[in-house]
Amino acid sequence: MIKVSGLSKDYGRRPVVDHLDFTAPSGRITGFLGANGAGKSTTLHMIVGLIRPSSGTAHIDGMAYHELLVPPRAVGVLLDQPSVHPRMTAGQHLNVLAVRSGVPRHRVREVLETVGLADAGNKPVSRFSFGMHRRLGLACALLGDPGTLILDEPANGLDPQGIVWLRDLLAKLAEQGRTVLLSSHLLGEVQALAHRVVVLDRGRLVAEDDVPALLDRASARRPVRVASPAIQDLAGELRRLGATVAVTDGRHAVVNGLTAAQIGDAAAVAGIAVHELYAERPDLEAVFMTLTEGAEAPAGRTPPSSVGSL
Amino acid sequence: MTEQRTASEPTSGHARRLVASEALKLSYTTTAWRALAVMGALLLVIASLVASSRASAAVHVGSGRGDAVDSVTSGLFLAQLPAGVLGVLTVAGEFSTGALRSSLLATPRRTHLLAAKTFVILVVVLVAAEAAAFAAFAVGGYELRNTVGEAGVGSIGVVRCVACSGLYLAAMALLGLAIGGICRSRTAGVIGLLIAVSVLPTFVNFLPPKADAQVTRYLPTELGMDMVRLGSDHGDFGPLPGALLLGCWIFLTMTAAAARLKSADV
Repeated sequence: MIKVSGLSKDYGRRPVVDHLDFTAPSGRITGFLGANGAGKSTTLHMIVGLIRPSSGTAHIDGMAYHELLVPPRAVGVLLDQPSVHPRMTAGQHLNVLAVRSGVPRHRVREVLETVGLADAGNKPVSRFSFGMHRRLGLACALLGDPGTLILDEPANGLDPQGIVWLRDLLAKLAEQGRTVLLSSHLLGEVQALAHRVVVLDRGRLVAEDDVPALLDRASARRPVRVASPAIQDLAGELRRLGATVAVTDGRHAVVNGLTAAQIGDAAAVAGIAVHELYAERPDLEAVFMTLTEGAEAPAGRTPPSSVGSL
Repeated sequence: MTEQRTASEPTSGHARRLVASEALKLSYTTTAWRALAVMGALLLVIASLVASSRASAAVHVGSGRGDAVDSVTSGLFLAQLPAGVLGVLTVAGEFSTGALRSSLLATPRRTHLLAAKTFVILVVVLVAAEAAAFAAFAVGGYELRNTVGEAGVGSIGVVRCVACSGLYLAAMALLGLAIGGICRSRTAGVIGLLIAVSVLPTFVNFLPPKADAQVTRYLPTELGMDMVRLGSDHGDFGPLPGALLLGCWIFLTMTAAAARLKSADV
């Protein structure tokens, strides 16, 4: 389990991460969501001790990262930036890591095969494509068979097959009881990959919940389309329950303020037939946009409109 | 799933694995091999050139022993550059390429990492430099064989001079490592090294004569000369105090490098 408490980082006066609290429980995949510049990478770097927090703590299974004597055997980390000497080959880099961690050398071969780099192990890393770099990073994270995985944008640079492979791999690892924390700005991916999400907006926590619960809460606020042969009667019923109803034609209406279930129940009680009942179920992207919109973008920061290009 | 057995392992295994991994990393670094090869080649070539010119200019029998030592120490001024650059690259190279992130993920206790790198560089450069220094002395002695009867390893003083030449090169590698840690980039580190070993000794010449002499004798390059000089020169510290003062330089710069490394966000 990863536990982050009151974690902050400010460069000068500007907070990049602002008193962040969240947990990533074991046996589950926690998605860490936020727009570019929201502070995701900074937070992950602070958890693994590469960036010194201004205040607050981060613990992995009750220990600060620097308290782990051989971290690669407890925590696998994939960073968003290059972290391999370009002149070395993938195999050499993993060999060094294996010697450092006291992991048997045959694991190097194994993880290279796991990530699909078995044939590229003797190539200098400088000749790697972006996707190969990401796969090598994953190999490094998996080498020590760690109980916790912290992955910064793991799907970045992977082809569609690679993403499917990653999804299966992470699901298997979480099933084994491991903790997985992954960041992404690709919201659809997180929806498919993660059980839980932690949403970050300009350094602040805006949501932390299971994916279905978050979607349910969001869908309660979304309009429901309803079709009925007695639409005016139904509209009256629903208005009595406090809903805003816009009747669009003789048979259709758009209802705000009630869930589809509540509308169906109300119709049944009133004995009115319902022909169509359609609750637009939001995807995570829409939820994310709702959560992060509204707040004013400080000058000099990426405006929220850039989220649309994700 | 791995349990947290790693945390309770004895510290000796931790240190051994850390040093072994740093040594393995260095052995994979082609630049390191090149730097060591250039250092050795400079010592040998300069020893050979100096000795052969001394041999032809020798006026009396018996001067050859000192000349053989001179032929080794003459090469130090150039050979210290690849040694120092190797030191700079060991730490600054990791800052520049981002490889430091991997190293710190595996070894989050940053002073441990710096200590392991220092130890590996000290051992590797010391072994290579001692081998090169004694080989250069042999080359020099061979060239001077006609000017002196016993050009070989004749006295304790001669052995000390040659051994200290190797020690000095290892010290310069450590100084380079510390400068690299302070500068955090390859380019800045190499420039810093050049300032310390070449620019500074020239620059102090512009000081008033009295101050010049007082400052010059504390420069790392001058302290190195104190270590390798056969016999004594007016105003020098002598081999042991020279070596100790050079050690102080390394200690101070290394402390600064450790402080910089500890506070760095990478």
